[in-house]
Amino acid sequence: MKLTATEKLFVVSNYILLSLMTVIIILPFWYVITVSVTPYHIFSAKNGMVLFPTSFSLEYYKYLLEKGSLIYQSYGNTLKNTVGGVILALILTSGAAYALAEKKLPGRRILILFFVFTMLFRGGMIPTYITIKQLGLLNTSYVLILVMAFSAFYMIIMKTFFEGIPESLKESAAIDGASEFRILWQIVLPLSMPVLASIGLMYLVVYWNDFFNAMLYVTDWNKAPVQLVLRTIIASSSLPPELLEAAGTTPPPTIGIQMSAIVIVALPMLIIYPFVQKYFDQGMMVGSVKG
Amino acid sequence: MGSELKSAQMIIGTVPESGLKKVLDRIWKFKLLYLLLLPAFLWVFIFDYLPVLGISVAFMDYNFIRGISGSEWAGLKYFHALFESDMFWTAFKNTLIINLYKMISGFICPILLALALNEIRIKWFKKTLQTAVYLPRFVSWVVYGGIITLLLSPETGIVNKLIELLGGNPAYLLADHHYFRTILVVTDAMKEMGWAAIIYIAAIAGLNPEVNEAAVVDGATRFQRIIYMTLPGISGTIVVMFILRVGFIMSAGLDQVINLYNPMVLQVGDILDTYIYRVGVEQFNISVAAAADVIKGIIGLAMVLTANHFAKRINDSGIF
Repeated sequence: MKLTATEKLFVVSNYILLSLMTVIIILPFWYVITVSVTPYHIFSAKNGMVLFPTSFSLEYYKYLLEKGSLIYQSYGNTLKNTVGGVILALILTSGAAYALAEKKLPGRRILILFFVFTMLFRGGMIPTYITIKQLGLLNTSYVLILVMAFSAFYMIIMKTFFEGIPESLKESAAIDGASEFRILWQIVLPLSMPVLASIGLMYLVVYWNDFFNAMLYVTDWNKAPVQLVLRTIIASSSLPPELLEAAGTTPPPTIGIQMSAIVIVALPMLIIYPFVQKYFDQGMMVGSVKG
Repeated sequence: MGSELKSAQMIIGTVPESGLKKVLDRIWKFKLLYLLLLPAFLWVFIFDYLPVLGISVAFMDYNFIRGISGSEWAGLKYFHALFESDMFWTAFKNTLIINLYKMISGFICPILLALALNEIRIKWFKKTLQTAVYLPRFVSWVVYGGIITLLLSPETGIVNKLIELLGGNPAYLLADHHYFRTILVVTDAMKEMGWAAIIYIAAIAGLNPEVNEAAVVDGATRFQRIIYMTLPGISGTIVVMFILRVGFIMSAGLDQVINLYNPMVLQVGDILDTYIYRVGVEQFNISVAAAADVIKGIIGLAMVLTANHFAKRINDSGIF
């Protein structure tokens, strides 16, 4: 394929602009990691210009991860919420999606409307808060698992996927005498692993990164997820007294603490993400087939 | 079950026995599917529909201790209070302005990004770029807000160092009402653009490659192919995404703003959601905040229905 001069220019500038943009997007993350391992005297001597680590220290991490630090407990809470939440969310979402993918289901149209309506109109922050309170869920250890466990949007994506499973596959199994439950368990479920992985990972990100539901529904530090603790660390210019039970230690400069806390909280997602990226792509592909 | 069935028949009366039995048989046949549906149905009822009823607190002198049943009706009192509040109108205006800016950048950038990525022919390079630009989506706004605060800090922030290098004066950017909205728009694009582009990348991948090849044979340039083939090919997706976007017109990015704003920029940065949070949860004016929620919900619903209506009339690709 021969390119004209303008096309060549277009291709070259496209490469350059995209690369530049990528660097701008990635650099902040790199910078945070560098700051978190650079001793403060070097950071301040260089006036913050520490794009490449010239000396290495883990003092901030040591301080944050000292015994008795709130980080451990809140990390445990986040793990518990995330694991429990993703399992519950997948059960709710796939169950509804599978049922509504059956075109002959009586009442299907009304049921779909019932779910889609929630995408158009919501009670809003305060009415939801009041509902949670009336139900006696405020400040319980499972409220954060419950409130994020279903998204009509993800359900629709999954439904589109289930609709794509050939009817003949299920019919021939039924003729062979397989029960409905067995068809679901032995034929549909194995076929659905990719979409379950995609949607499960989307929920995983939602649960891991939630801080706002926690701000609303959890006031007890023992139940706070790690994002909420991080928010407190970032928002305060000095460290919150809740953070450390080991009083009497002189805390290192705040900026390093903040940056290493950011790394501790964000790292798991950033590490697993490139490995599971294909599932995210897949999920979006499935969902957009209809569009 | 039997007597219930009979009384149901007595009430309905006109339905012949065999007809009703047929309907019930049909429903019974799908019992497993209804069972699978039930948990999600209950969830949506409890966590989506009960809050819709919870809107009633906007029309009450809500008493937090005694709950909804122990509170007196107050009519439109709190709506009047809301409409007389300057802070509400400031937040209302800011929501629309910030959203408009974000719509221009946050809606168009992903489309451009998808088109640009599509022109990259070196596979590994394209894959690397994609992985990199999706990345910020996987951290929370707490994390990203913290990173931005570091970058923009007045003393050690790297952005201020750049400004100095280019001959400008360093400033406390996050506390300056001239820059705050720009910061919101730019950082929103940086964080979400890559992920938002996926849907268009998928749509482009779904286009028929033969048409493209035929155009190459006919001597169409790259530009012509983008403008006359790729772009029209994904127009359906663009319309759907636009409708969804319009439905969120009253949400200008709560997670982002609440992690970046400060008293210095309240006049330009306060949005409806942060207003509702402050008034309702921090100051405990439950009913005023709920009234703001009602306004927000109704406008959002009206906007998405209108957008859908027009989309259907223009090219028959609405979403409902």
